[in-house]
Amino acid sequence: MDDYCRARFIELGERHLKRPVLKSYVVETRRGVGQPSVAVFADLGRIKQQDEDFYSIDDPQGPVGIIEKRSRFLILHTLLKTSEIELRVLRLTRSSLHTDNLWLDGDMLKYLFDVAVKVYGGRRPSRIAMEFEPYFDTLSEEDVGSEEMDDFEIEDSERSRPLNRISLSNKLGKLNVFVDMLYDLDFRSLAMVRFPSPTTSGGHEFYYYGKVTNRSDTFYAHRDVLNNVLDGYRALTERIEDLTWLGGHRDKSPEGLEAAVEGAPVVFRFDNGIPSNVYQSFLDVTFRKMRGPFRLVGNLIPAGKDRYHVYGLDMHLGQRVFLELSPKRFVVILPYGTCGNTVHRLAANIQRYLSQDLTITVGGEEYRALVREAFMIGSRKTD
Amino acid sequence: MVLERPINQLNLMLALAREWPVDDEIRPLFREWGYSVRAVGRKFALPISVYAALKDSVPMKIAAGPDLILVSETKGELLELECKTQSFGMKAVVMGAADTDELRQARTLLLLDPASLAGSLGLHKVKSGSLVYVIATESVPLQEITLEELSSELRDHGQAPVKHWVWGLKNKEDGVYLWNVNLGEEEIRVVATTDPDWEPIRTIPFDPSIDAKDEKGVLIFSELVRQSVAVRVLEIGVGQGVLDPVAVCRAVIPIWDFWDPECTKPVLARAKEYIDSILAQVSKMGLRSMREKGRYLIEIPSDRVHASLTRYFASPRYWRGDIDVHMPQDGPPMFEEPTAP
Repeated sequence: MDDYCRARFIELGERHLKRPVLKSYVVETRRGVGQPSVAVFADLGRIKQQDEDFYSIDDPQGPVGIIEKRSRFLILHTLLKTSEIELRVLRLTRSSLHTDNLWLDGDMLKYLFDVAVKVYGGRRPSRIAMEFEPYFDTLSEEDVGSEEMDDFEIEDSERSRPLNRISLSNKLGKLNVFVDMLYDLDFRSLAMVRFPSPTTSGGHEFYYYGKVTNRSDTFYAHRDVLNNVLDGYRALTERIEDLTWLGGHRDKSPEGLEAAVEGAPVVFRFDNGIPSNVYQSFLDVTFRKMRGPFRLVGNLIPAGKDRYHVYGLDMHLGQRVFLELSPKRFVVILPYGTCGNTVHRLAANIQRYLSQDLTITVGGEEYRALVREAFMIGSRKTD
Repeated sequence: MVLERPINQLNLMLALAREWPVDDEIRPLFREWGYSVRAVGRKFALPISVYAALKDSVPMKIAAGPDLILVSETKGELLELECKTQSFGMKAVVMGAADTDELRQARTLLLLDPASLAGSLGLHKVKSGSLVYVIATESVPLQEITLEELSSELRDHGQAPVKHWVWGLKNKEDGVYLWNVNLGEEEIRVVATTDPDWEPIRTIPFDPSIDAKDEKGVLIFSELVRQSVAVRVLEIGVGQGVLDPVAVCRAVIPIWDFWDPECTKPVLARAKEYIDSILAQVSKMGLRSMREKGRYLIEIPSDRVHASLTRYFASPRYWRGDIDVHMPQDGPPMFEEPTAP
């Protein structure tokens, strides 16, 4: 793989890629399910164990890739083209109640970007993409009823709905100026960030749905950076679980009653409010028609003016989630046992589909600060 | 709305014990005061000597518990909160009854010693406490008189009843207020809202022991049971597995283990009845189930059956509560797979 990456890196320099760059898809399992099983990828090909935590996967046309097992994560490193593999991976993770793709929301990607700027002082080249999909703003009645309506479109060329997308490549210092300007304009939904490789040339592109492409000349550097980010992601998820299940009191019995009733609520606050038509369309599509990208199910129970309660399930991992929805504020209560990544997923989807102008808090703590705190592990390693 | 239902009052009190962002519409009053939740719906027995001495002369219960116990370990104090729609003194006055269920419960609560109650929760530093009734503001004066009368009745029998307070809940134009509070300002806005229909989200979705006529609670309970059955059956996959109705109830009601059997029995029966009707529907698709020792043994014999079950459980109609498999479905199943990256 290392040799393969070196060859692709030379081709990238020559702007003539003969074969696809290596890409890794990260799949997460929910806490308490135990070690994730590589069988989740069984539909992609024949899986054979090569080492304690590494498996090869091949189909009749040739190798599909290598699966790496890492506590709560499975990582598929593949050399196939995006068009050959991405949809198949996403379908597999979506069809299982035990697995989901990794969700890197805008705050996490912004943190990676800020660290890159700080560490490399603006000299190294990088790339970012910001995407906002006015999904609920533009949805017609026809769309809602259509069998073709999907919840996961990525490539512009095949899109059937509008996407506001900005993609910029430049030195980190200049990019940082652009990013600040875009943030001032409330354009904040980062969908991809290229993190410069700490030990070699090139970089590693992190996409919000858990894909990481290697644009450096070694596989080892790619794995190191990915693992650092996963360390931060896991620390963040577990911190959120501690706060939302136990109210931040680690000394209490984890199965205790306090866990059930005193955990911190997660609040998504929209300072300017979600526009009425967008809010109504979101409620209609997600909860009445039970469709669309959020994959939440549950009945809307009126709880005041424009305010609803939902005692529902997040169908990504089949987990219970209690919601209070209003145009100004969403409150999310994670009952004991519901995975903390529910917060990352909601954050990523709200930033992408509903509003970019939001503040997220977990109890009394700002989500952004929690991201910083948890990802210090990763940034220390890459420093 | 909040003031009307004890289940809403309880959930509002629970919300005041959670940590909210600094400028949120909910003021985490109990946290500010240094109190945290240590028990919900638990019952405590009176000392047997007290019960034996009084039971023939004073109508009371052998055990009772407030809806909620809040504790401040630094102050060494606890608050026993009991939520009520209205003063039960009125009922006693009108009906001339001295032994309504609520009066018997109130006497028992007044006799529970805060220190021993804290001791049974493992909080040995807590030595004092108060009983607090939370009630609609207009009922506060009558409730205070009622509690004072009950206390003096107990004192006449040589007992030392616990301190008591009555907090009023009221809606004003700019929010929900707690009134007559002994621990701080007299009137405290706990929810900033101009919406007269504001309701708290329910951490405890349903509790027939405090709110027997709670239709919304029944609806939420049914929905949560329906979800649990769908997820459990889909988790089993092709093969055999167990569906335990007690586990379903425990997942749905966070305080299940603290409820009395008199409370759990009818709810468990209701859950089983509902699970039976869902399983009867899915048996038409080939799922096999058998009751054994109060649990259901489930068998999904083939991929084909599993695929049918997945379609059924993924239909909007099922989630809305129409569980009949022969009902016409309205549109394609939800969350179709991604079609084009």
